[in-house]
Amino acid sequence: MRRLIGDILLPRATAVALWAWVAFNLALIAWVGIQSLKESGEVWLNPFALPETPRWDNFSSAWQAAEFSAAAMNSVVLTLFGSVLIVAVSAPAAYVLARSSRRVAGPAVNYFAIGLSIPIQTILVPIVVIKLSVYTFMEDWVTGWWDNRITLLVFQVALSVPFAVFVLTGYMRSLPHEIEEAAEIDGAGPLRAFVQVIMPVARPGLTTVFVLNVMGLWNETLLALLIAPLPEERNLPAALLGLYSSMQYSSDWGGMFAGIVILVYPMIVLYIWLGRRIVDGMTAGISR
Amino acid sequence: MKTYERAFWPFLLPALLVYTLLFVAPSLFGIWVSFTRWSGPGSEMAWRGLDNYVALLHNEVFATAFTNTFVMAIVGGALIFGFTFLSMVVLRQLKGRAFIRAVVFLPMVISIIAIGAAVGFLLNPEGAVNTVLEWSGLDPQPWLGPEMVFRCIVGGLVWSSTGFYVALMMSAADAIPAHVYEDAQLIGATKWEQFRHITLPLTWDVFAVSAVLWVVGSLKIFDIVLAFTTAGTAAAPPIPARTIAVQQFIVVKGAGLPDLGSAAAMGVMTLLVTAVLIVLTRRITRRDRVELS
Amino acid sequence: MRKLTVVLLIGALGLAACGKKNSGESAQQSLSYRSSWGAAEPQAKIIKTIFDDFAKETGTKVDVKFVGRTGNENLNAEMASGQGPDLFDTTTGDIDTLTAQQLIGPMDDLENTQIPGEGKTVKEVLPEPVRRASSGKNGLAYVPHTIISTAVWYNAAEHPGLNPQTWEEFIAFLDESKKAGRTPIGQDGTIAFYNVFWFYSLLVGANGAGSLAELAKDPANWDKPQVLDTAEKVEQLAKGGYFQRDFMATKFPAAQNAWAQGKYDLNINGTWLASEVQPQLAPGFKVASFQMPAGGKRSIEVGTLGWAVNAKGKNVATAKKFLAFALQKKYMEQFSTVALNISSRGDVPAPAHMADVQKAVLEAKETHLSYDYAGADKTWWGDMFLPLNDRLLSGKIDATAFVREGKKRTAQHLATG
Repeated sequence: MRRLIGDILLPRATAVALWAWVAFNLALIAWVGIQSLKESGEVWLNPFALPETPRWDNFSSAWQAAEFSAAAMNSVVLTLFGSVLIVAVSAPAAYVLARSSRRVAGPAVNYFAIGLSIPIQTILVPIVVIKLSVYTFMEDWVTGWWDNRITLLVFQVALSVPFAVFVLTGYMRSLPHEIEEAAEIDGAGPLRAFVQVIMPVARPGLTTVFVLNVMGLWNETLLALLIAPLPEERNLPAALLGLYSSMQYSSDWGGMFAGIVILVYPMIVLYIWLGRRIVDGMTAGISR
Repeated sequence: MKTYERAFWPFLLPALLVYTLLFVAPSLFGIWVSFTRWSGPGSEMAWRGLDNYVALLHNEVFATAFTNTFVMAIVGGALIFGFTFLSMVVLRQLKGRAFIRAVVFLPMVISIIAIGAAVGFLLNPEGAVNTVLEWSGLDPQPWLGPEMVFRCIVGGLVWSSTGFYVALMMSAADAIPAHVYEDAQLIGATKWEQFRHITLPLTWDVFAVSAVLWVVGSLKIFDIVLAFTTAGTAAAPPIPARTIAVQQFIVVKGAGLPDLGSAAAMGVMTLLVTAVLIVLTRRITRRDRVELS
Repeated sequence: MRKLTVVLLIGALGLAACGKKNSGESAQQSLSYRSSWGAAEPQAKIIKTIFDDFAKETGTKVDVKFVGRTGNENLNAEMASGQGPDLFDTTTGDIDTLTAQQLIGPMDDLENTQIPGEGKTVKEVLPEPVRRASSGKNGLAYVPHTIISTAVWYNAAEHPGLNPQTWEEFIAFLDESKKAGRTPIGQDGTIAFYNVFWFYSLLVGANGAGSLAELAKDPANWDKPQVLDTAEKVEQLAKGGYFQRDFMATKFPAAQNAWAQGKYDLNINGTWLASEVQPQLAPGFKVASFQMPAGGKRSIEVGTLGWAVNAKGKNVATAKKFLAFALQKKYMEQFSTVALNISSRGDVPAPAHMADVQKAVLEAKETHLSYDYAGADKTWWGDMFLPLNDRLLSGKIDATAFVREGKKRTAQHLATG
């Protein structure tokens, strides 16, 4: 009996469920692709049929309606720049916090850990207020212009720092102490020592934090809607939401699915191309 | 003096400043706003004391959003880690495991808005899911109706998030040397027992981190609710489907004067819940580290 | 971080160095507009044309952004803090909020401005009910381009001349449709403010302006017999099985699209319906409508959509100049011919299928504003009344429970509010 359940029934059932799950994911992706080539009426009338004649113009109408080119650019810049900044700010801090024997280091680690438990809800209202005030301040007094995307970037970084510091501190603690000695003998300054000696050794942890943040920032919706909602400022999720909205009011369903394909298929291709490197990178620093 | 002692402040300060000025200080400001009546810059701010909190405690809509958020964190978490553990029982040896791991992770790289738009179509009363149910002789269901929509959202969330935790936990499990399992097989341990007594204890640390990750993430769930319900329309998502983040967004964007004091009070209450849940999670997952000797 | 430091540093230096406010003034006139229309919608295309023409003729630099329904969530807060566009979209239901936030200023000068090339003033081309629906306590609040109203929509090719005059006739049609094996009503039940069309049209249609709004102001108003009577009618709809199966679970706009395909006989909706479902209409479908047979005062809903001037904006005068320009007949006609809606100008005929709605609006003895302005107390409306109405319409509670709950919760709301 024990063998029946533990060795046959449970594993078999799980295996079947896993394959069903895989099949569903693949079917869903294919289904979205098929819908994107249909005429609006067909999407409702025959959800499973192949398109009568492929409507490639759905793609151009979606691309224009959603102003995807600007959004894609924003998403790429905000995501990459943001993730790099997060690592650049957090890694040195995590390093000294992990290593230092100063009395202030322990409380400082806890101070960052508090940030982990502050949900975005707590600072939603302040963020809106700051966003507006910064814009007015910069435009009236300083530069004469301002771009909400900078505000968005700054907040994305600030909100991600506690988690990055938390994970990296734990990771840096696990690194062998001998590594600094090489740097000491070199007589290199702290910054050079950190960049040339510590960072290469800590690469798995840094990669993890970087990849996790790339995924988080790439899908950021709430902050983006609140801080940078205009067509030329918004990122891809916000643009898709906008497209979803206008396609609902104009009943252009083929166009809406074309928009989904434009957004999703490149990510899938990228994922297939980078393959396990994404997943490995993401987990390398946590699972040590 | 060691490098890290010399560089302590220069290295720590940027992170400390960014975090303090742009995260901690706004949080404190948010707490202060929660004691006022205010509709944003350019309007008068009036002290209200605890009134915003009292009003929220009496507000049934907020109560629903609050409960939903809680249920999502706990039930959603149980389902996600349940599936993750089951997958770990078989994924070590199953044929095509690399492929499975890759495909179940896929929803993570796809925008949840896109998923919601497509799945919403499938779940419409006349949609594909009900069509399939009817073909197989089953009753069609009002998936997106007030009774079921929240369950559908939790389902969608579990579906799209589990792959991430499978990836996380499996990469920890991959590090366990094969001979441990071979020994276990020799003494006749079933696959379940191998998971129970080898895989799980040896990946427990990663599970503890994952659990905290989930709890923190689940409390800010926002976009999937919009995507499954009224995304893109001027209508607010139906009350049974709302989370705190959604409710707060509705209050901030407001059809009338935005009530920022109330929205900030919701934020503070979420803060308390998060703290409680994190402490609970840490307590449940706390145990001595198991090492292979 | 370094970027931030630099920015902060520049900021500090800038302050120290000049300590003087940048002036946004430039020699050229400029005008900005932020739209709640999506770029793909016909209204957006019309508005774009008007702005382009205005720019060409006056040499104004225009900045037009079509944001859509999502993305303007912060607009009021932005404008209140002194930012935001010169012109924005608004509707009847928002007037009080905008007035309270002092985002709209006096417009009486505009009312007497001549429309270019027509020799008429703004006031002269906008019919009185239209102006009323666009005015707050300080007079005209914004300039409307579209009239909106609510009606029950059907396919005149299938049911020529359908126009029930009493509740009984209406129910008789529903029963007949059901008996013939059709689905009488398609309803997008996930959109609460479409579900409330039934209760609202029946109550306010029969009892006139204020009869719904007063329910928010005093729990005693729930005791008026007309409230229970209306609730009983809605209950009759809910219990009669006239809606499509699982109508509370639709993915909007599934029901209105299926209606346009001919799957349901009726759909209660706003005058924007025909425009929205245009690509879905079955061949030969003739969109037509009738007023909800509420009886009593036969009050007609008049609401408007239009452009408001941001009172805290930088170019108030230019914005007003634009509004007079935009009201030219050649542009307003397109809201009818291209966008398939009812134009705000009395001398522009509505699309054929809405000629009767336009006539009803312009000739009505009794009119009321969209939703009878009951949404003004948004907590009452969104958190209490709409959900309660959803429960009534979906048959979860009966009319008596609806009135009892409504009264109780209104009292609670007023006590804690």
